[in-house]
Amino acid sequence: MYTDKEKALIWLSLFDFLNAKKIEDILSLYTLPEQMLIEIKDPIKDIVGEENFSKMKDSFDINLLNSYIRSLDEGNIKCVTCFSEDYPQKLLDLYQPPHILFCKGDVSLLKTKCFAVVGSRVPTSYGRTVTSTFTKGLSENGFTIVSGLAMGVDKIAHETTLENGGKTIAVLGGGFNHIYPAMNQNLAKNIENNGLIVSEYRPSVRPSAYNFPVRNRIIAGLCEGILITEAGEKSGALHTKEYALECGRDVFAVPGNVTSQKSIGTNRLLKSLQSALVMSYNDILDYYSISPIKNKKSVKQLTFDEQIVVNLLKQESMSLNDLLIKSGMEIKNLNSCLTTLQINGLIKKLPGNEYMFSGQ
Amino acid sequence: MLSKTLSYGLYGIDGFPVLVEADISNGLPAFDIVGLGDTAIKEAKERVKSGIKNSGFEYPTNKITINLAPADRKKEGTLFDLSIAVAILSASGQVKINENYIFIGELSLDGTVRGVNGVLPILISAKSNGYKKFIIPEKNLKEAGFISDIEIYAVKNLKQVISFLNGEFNISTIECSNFQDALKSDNNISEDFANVKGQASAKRALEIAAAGGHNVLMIGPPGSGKTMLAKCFPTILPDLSFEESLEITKIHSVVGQLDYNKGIITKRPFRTPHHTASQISITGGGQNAKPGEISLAHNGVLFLDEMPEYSRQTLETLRQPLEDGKITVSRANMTVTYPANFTLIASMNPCPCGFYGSKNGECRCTPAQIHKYLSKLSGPLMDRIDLHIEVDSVSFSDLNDKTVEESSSVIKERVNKARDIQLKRFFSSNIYSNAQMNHAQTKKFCALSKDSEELLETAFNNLKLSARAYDRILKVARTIADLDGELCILPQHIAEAIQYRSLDRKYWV
Repeated sequence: MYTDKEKALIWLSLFDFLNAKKIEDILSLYTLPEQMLIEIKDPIKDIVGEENFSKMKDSFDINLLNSYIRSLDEGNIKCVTCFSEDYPQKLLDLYQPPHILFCKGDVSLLKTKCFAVVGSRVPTSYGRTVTSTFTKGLSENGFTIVSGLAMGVDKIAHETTLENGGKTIAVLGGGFNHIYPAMNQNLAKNIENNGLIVSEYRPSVRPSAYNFPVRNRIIAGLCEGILITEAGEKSGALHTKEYALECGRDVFAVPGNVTSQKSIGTNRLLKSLQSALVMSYNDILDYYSISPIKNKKSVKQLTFDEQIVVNLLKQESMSLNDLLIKSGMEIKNLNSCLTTLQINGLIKKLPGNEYMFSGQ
Repeated sequence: MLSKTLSYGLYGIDGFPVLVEADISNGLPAFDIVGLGDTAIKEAKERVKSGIKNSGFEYPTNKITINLAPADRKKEGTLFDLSIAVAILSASGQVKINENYIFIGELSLDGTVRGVNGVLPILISAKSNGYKKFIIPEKNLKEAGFISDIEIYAVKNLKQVISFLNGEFNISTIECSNFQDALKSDNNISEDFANVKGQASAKRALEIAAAGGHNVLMIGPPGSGKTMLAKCFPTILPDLSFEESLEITKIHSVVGQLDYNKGIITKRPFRTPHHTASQISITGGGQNAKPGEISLAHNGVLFLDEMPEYSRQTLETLRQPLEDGKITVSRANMTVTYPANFTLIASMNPCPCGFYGSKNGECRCTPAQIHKYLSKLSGPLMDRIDLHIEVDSVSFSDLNDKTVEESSSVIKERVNKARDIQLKRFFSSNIYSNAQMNHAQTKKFCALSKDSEELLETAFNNLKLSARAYDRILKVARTIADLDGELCILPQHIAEAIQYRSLDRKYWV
């Protein structure tokens, strides 16, 4: 199934001490990469050091490698190497493109038009709202949403896409056997079935703090542009931005409240003109000259009470208490109204007892 | 030179008869008490000796042996002092006991009879065992007054008892107190929903909780009034019936938390153990298996402020009492079952710092911290809490608002009506509120119309409710329908009930 060239890369992926740079150095020693399966050249010693070199020599066994590949197949894990057809060429824009990507799910998504949505792991309700509306708009208009399967903005981006039947790619900072954070286990399963999860690391690699910024370059490389919805001063999303700028991707950011700690990162980005300011997903679609798809949802007849609530929420999102005062309704009627509207998808509940309009 | 008197011991919240035998025989002066008494009983020697002497009677300088029968049963407390003293005086011929009195009381060194704990439960058990005449400390007069059809004599000191027994002095039996009067006399205004500004949604949820006996979890940032709301909750619970009141008083009497001046508890208890409370103090236990907070909250409210701060172990012990309404405390000495039928009201912040999702502050917790905080509440425990409500922080304009809020008595009327409907519904079964329905009963009494069923189904699909929410929603919807006086559960009732399941919703973290 894999060519010998690819097998050589799969073998190299077994060693934790090899990063993209070292793999590249090793490959440059061979005129044909498949030779590596026949002979392990001595100059490798200079790249990896003596101890690691003897490790590599000891562990080399073509049968072992084949059974390892079989175990990957059994786990439905596909390796997309830089020699394979499925490999997205856009990754080559990176300074150090990954040589191998372990994939679970729909590999063809790698070559679709991708857009990254990243941001704070602990967004405010504003960040949540913005993330979900932007993601929804982008995925409905044909973008594959890429993010990092972290908490907060990443999670919302993945979930919103799946909810709306869009396609999403999650790029992990560890192997598939160690989904981090563990809370996102189910989400990962879900993405695997309806999208794609990708990792540069073989399944048994544990996530480490060092790996996460490194994987951000893959997020940046896969996408045409990245959107930062909310980022604090030291958010990891700013790493992704660095990589994106480095390989010539477009960076968009949503402005936030100047008093909000959680928006310092994005606001600074905008101030330093490193990213474009966007106020709605239409701004991004405009930039790529995509005309937004008109949504033709059948409009359900609302009751009188429901209409009042919708009209109020259309102006701004507000708390239950404010709604109660402004609508002048009885609490029991308001409560049942809010449920039916949520079921119809017209409004959304936010943490802190707030409601927002989410329909068209 | 042998004499016998009767007294009563306490076992849990029930009493058992104790025969106090006194024997005075020739020999070196000595005083022994046998019959498995605790230290307080051993020390009774000194109190009785001085008490007799200082009341002007003669303390026999012979060998005195006291036996507390049944001798193989452990006894505790000071309530046998009086009966021991009378038995000694009778054995030494200074008094004649003609009738079967039950003596209860602690002796002071000067012969005064002091009040003791547990008089009410003793009187109730003794009455059911057919005893008719009691001599009790004057201090316990009030609580004893609520037991009718028995003769109770309240005494001040040992001298009075002896002259009464000798027929030299007449004490009239105490008059029966009226429970309704006690209820009415206890009208000092404490908390009232009229004083809580805004928070309409929380108030509504508490009204539903009171009407259906549901447990409630309030989630909100610090300073949003969760504690105040909880404190008002007992004011909208239905008035205590006499039987309920006796049950509560019994428990409080045993642990000595009864107000001697009132005699009976006329208000539903509101217990707020601190989150550092040990598991034993919550469930009951200790050497003598005393009732814990959950039993003291019987027929009332147990309020756990900042619920995730309690130790996991403590919270898990609540599971069985929440289901059964009672708790069995087993210790080496004894195994006692205490009633523990309480409404649980818990409050918590949405995250450790308290500001997750709040407009007034920014949350600085990491997702892992929030997750850890929330995971303190186990699934089985959450299964027993029907209503989750989010409480907003209150703005200044709300506090300054001049509108008059509904008072507790108005809400209480509605609650009473809904309770009446439930009492009729569960007439043949042994439960009395919607919250207590089991699965089969839920199926029977919460049949849904087609509209309602459709609504519930779409809600489950679209709002991603967890499966455990299903029965809870039905029960709460039943209560809402009862408050509306509707026979069937209508779609709007279901819709409202779904609003009270916020923790089941996946938007949380």
